[in-house]
Amino acid sequence: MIPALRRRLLLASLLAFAVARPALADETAGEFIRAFGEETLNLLANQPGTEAERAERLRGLLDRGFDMATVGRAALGPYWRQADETQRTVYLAAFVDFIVATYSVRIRDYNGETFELVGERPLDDKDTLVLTRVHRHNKEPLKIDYRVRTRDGERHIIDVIVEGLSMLTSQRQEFAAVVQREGVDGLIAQLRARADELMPTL
Amino acid sequence: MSSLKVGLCVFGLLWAMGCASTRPQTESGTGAEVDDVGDPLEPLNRGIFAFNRTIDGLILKPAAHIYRGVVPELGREGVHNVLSNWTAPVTFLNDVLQGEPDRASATLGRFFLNTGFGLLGLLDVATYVGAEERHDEDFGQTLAVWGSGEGPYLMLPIFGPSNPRDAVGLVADKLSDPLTWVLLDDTASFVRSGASALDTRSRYLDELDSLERTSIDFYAALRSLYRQRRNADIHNGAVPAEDYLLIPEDIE
Repeated sequence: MIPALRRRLLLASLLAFAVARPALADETAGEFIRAFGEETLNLLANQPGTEAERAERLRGLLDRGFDMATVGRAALGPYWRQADETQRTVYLAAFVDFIVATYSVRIRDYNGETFELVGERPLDDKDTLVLTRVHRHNKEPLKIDYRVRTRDGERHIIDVIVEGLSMLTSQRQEFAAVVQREGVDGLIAQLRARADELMPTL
Repeated sequence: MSSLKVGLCVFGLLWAMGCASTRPQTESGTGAEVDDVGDPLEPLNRGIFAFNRTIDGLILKPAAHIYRGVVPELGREGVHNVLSNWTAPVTFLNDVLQGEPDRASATLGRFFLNTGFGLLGLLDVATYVGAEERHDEDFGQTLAVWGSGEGPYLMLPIFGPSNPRDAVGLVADKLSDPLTWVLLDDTASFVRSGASALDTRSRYLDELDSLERTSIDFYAALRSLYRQRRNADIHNGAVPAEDYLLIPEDIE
């Protein structure tokens, strides 16, 4: 590898660490999303290493930025109550792998998009919507809102709303359709199978 | 207008009258109930969806790939601009019907700029000079603003995801579109419909493929996205806070 390029990659990964700090209470939801967005763009723009390594970085990013336990629970909706302890544990693990795999597929399409913070809108006493625009080459900008929940002074994303479409709502309704046919174990098997199919190295 | 479209119109109207009182429901009361997905005809709809996917796989999707492969980006953008520009009369009418004078004048302004200075809409001059962002309106949205519920989810053959309200809207849009009456010549109206289908399908090639690859029930995912999309459109992008999914701190 060319030394200059290697230096740039090293610098990029140092920058990634610099922004990957825990969310502080005095930081606004918008600032939290700005830091998270920069970190994500960094991951997208600089993708050294194997596919499995990139997936691991993505997993770390999701772990820090999202409250995956809350997202996973809400995605299972009413069936979370019906699931026993073992099912819940296995489901959450399968859910996170499924999300990592699906996002790995989507970030392959990354094409120099840039990210702009537009504003904030309080949703209720717990949650804030952070409004952003993603500017794309030769296409209309994409409106992406992050639903950020503050709990015990920490902020986490619990939903991503693309052009008014809640990813969590659509996943929850999709999962419900599968559970109604095949039960929670059937859903877990499907999530696992799809994650393996998309990312055999996971 | 073909007998199929008239048939759809009557069918949709009957449904709409029967279901006009159904309120759209996208969320549950406590976050711990099954979401009402408004799809009592699911088995029938899934059958039609399978048919639509077959047709799509045989005709529309390959055609969209060829279109994208053969026509350069600039050409496709021109086609898209012309098609979008000429939806303005219907959008304007529905802006007015919804009592939105500011949005109506924005639609009119864009239309005059692009038609007059942009070679009948080939060039999006309005965006270039910084006019108000483009928006779409249709009669389905107008009915919603007037208080009509969506009724049961309907998968229409060929036309795809819909509901009685939006199916009625589809027919009303066609009838109220001046171009329908100008392009009485079958070839011209076929070219317009064909170009519109190719334009839309080619713009969603990657998104739909990626959604299909990353979903475990493509039908249910599309259903949710369609209903959310319409709700967002009806509210002109500003979805009210109470329509957001309730996510309790702890579901035990």
